[in-house]
Amino acid sequence: MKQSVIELVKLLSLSVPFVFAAVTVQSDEIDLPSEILEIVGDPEYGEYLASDCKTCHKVTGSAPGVPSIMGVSKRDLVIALHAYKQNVRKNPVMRMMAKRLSNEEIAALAAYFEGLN
Amino acid sequence: MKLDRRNFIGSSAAIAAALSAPTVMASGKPRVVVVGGGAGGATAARYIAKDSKGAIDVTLVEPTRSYYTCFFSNLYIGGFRTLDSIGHSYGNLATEYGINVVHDWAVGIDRGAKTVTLAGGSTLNYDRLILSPGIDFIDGSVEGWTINAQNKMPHAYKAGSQTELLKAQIEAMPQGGVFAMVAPPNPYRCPPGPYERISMTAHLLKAKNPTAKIIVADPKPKFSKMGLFQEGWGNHYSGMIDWIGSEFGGGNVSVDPDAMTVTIDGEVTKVDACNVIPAMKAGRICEIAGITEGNWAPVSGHTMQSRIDENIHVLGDASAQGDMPKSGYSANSQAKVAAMAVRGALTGSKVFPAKFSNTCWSLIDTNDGVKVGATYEATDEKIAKIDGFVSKTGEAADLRKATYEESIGWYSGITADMFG
Repeated sequence: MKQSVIELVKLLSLSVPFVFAAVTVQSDEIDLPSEILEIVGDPEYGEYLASDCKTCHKVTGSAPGVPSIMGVSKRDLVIALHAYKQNVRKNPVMRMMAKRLSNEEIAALAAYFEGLN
Repeated sequence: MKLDRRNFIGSSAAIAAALSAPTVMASGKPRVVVVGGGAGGATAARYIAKDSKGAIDVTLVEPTRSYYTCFFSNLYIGGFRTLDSIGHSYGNLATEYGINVVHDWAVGIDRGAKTVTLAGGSTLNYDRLILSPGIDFIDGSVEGWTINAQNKMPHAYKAGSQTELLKAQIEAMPQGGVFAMVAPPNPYRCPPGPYERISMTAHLLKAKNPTAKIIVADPKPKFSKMGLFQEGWGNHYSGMIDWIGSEFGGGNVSVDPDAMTVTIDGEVTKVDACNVIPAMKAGRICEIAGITEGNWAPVSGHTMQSRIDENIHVLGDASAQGDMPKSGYSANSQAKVAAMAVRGALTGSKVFPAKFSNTCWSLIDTNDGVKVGATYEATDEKIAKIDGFVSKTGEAADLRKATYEESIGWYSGITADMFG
């Protein structure tokens, strides 16, 4: 019993950084002009674009190694994607994915994912 | 009474209705039949059913009840996954998405009548047909090997019992024994797959049979992630792996499954286990449908529609589409474009420009993961690569570990995206 509790704690401590942390955004991470932050995205287009994200990011729950982005706030997702697009964030898969997205497409994705609460 | 478009058009109202939703008006709910329940077919069926919200009847034809993914099957060989962990059933697709899942083989397609015949004898009508059958092997491509030899020299390139058999044969090798692989010529399913398999075989042998040798006879002069694999083989499995490329006679190969010998450029070697991965072609149902040119089924990148029959979409390994590698990730990506196009054609839903992507992760040894990826767009000619990346040699151990962990997350994500 004690052993299984220890195992559970180990498991949780291992998975917590992946499950909860990765979509947090530092306020000074990148400088985005307010007109980019204020673009109103089309959630229907966002839903189509998001099908690309769902290959790795699960719709329900999450998995180690790939953070959950469901229900993340619009502002955080816009900042995170622009940080990849500007090569501030490092992951090469995400840099590549973000690079081809226009400002409007990033806004569309953010509008869609925010609605998945 | 069965209506078709020719006798249906009678009034302007009818014409308007026919233009907005022709198939709905012609035969009740439009019907989509999907053949093949892998990364292409399962994803397409799920997206069409989910996004059409019951407006389209979706039937998925897949022979197996438990589907084992080819991706991550090498990790089973290496001991990093159980076979159960890469097995999936179709229960959610049936109960949560209302997909009619039929476990049978598609054996005939009548493109004129728009029907699919199943081995069990029944016939399915379709308005749109999606073929995602994966690969079959080209007879005679490896001298001495036929499909009848697959128990002595497994291909293990369709996952499941073949993978289990290959792993058992590797584990049964005598100390200091020889494992041989005959690698396939381009193009084939999962470009880094054979080399990840070599890595996982070496990982398994290193622990249990460290004096064993691995020989790879390869008809190609180079292969996917070659620098990364060769660096990793040197780091982890020094002196164990002998890769013989085409420049050194690796393409001049024959096998004798009864004698368990492999002959490479005239030199006969007695082997204890042998993995023959023959040359590949589109799954046979594409040939039966008459939509292949050469070994593959050509498609338009905008919609994944066959260039020979616009009522058929071909996904994944079986398609000839341009620059995308034949991978589960590619098939999943193509399935979403096809699902959108099919819904647009059958229900008038909005269609956006096609976008594709792919990433292939490979495991070289414990916590030593590498990846290669690219984005793509549709042109009139083909699916064309836009941009890409590949892991670098000499990367730090923590980055390689993060790459491996990312691949585990991806596996969980893509299988949820396929099977719900």
